[in-house]
Amino acid sequence: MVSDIRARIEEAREAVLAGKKSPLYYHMARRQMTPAILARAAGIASFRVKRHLRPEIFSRLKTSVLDRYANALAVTREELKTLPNS
Amino acid sequence: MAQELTSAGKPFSHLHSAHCESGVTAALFRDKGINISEAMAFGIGSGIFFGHLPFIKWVGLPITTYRSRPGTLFSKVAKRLGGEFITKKYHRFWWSGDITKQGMDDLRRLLREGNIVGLTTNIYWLSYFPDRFRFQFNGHNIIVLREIENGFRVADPVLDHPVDCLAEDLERARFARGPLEPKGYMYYAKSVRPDPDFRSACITAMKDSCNMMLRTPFPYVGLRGIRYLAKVTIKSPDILEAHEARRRLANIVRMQEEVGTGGAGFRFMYAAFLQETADLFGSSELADLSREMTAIGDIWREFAVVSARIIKQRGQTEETFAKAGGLMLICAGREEQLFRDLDKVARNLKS
Repeated sequence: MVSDIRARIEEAREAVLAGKKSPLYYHMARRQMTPAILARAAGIASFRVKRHLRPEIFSRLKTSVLDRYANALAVTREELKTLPNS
Repeated sequence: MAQELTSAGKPFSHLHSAHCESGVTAALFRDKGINISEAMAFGIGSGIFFGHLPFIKWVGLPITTYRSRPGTLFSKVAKRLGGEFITKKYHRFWWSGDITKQGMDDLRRLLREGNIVGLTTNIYWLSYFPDRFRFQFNGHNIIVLREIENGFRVADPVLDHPVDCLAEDLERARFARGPLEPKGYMYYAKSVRPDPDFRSACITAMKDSCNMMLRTPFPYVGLRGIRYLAKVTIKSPDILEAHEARRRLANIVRMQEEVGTGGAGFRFMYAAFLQETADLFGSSELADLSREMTAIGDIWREFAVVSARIIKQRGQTEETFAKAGGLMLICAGREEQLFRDLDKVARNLKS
């Protein structure tokens, strides 16, 4: 089960690196959240969260929205926009 | 067993327990001077249960539970043993302001007043856990003993020793969002009855458990739930892809064995409860039922072993989904018999 979670996080990282998903997708996976949980935690509608998983839309988000995600995921705003190494 | 001081300066003996909620409940009672074992708390709170809820998805998988809904165990024990218990939940309305701050302030105040406080938390945000236990699950119970510098001293019943928890972590854990939100749920005993009536509490609890398991109108819980899940498991390789079927089965086993020790563990704990009641009432029938419960627990364990082999794809020929489902049906049959007998015995007991 642990390996399953790790595999899912690794998958998320690759998807982000390939440009298919936004970094938000990786951070969500790392916190073992689903869009529904993240939506509740950040106070953003789940359809918007799902939309923000697309890189081209995520890159245009304003800071106020990013801050809500950063707060919900317990990362800084800068970290949220990037992928951590490792 | 580790000794620790509470905020009131009283010694608190931390016992490792198998299930978080019964452990916390028992510890709260012990702090008030009533000697109650974890199994007893589990039994009196009617903790034994079964439910498979295909329509509530949790990380994309249906929820399977082997114990009662988080929160009910404590309230049932409190009601049945008597005493004054205060529970508090924080609801989010537009007029409620910053509930996170309110929740933490209330907790600090209660600790200063010398209470030990039980909390419901999300297990993912409790950073003192090793990574493999951390996942988004909103039903873990812990006890806060006292406040320390930028954090709290926490007695987690699942761990061997009391640990330190950062205030920030605790705040997140208490007010996590998602399915079954804890909403900062906290509870403490203001006073308890000095001489609780264990006998009548046990009888009520046993009848309640039998009712939940046997006479439910709802096909997903109780024994009907076990049979339903067995049917689903047997069919799963035909209707789902092999990988997905294995994932579902892995989830069932995970809920059984890992999340608060799950199915077999709870059956063993209930057996311990029946043993204790047998001593309490001097009833040999209850002792027999206790042994039967242990035997059922062993079958659940066997089910877990068989399933683990299926998941890891070892022994393809002899270990099949049909066999795993069959074991579950055996459990269902024996548990049905057991609860029917228990129902009869409990009705004849005099409090």
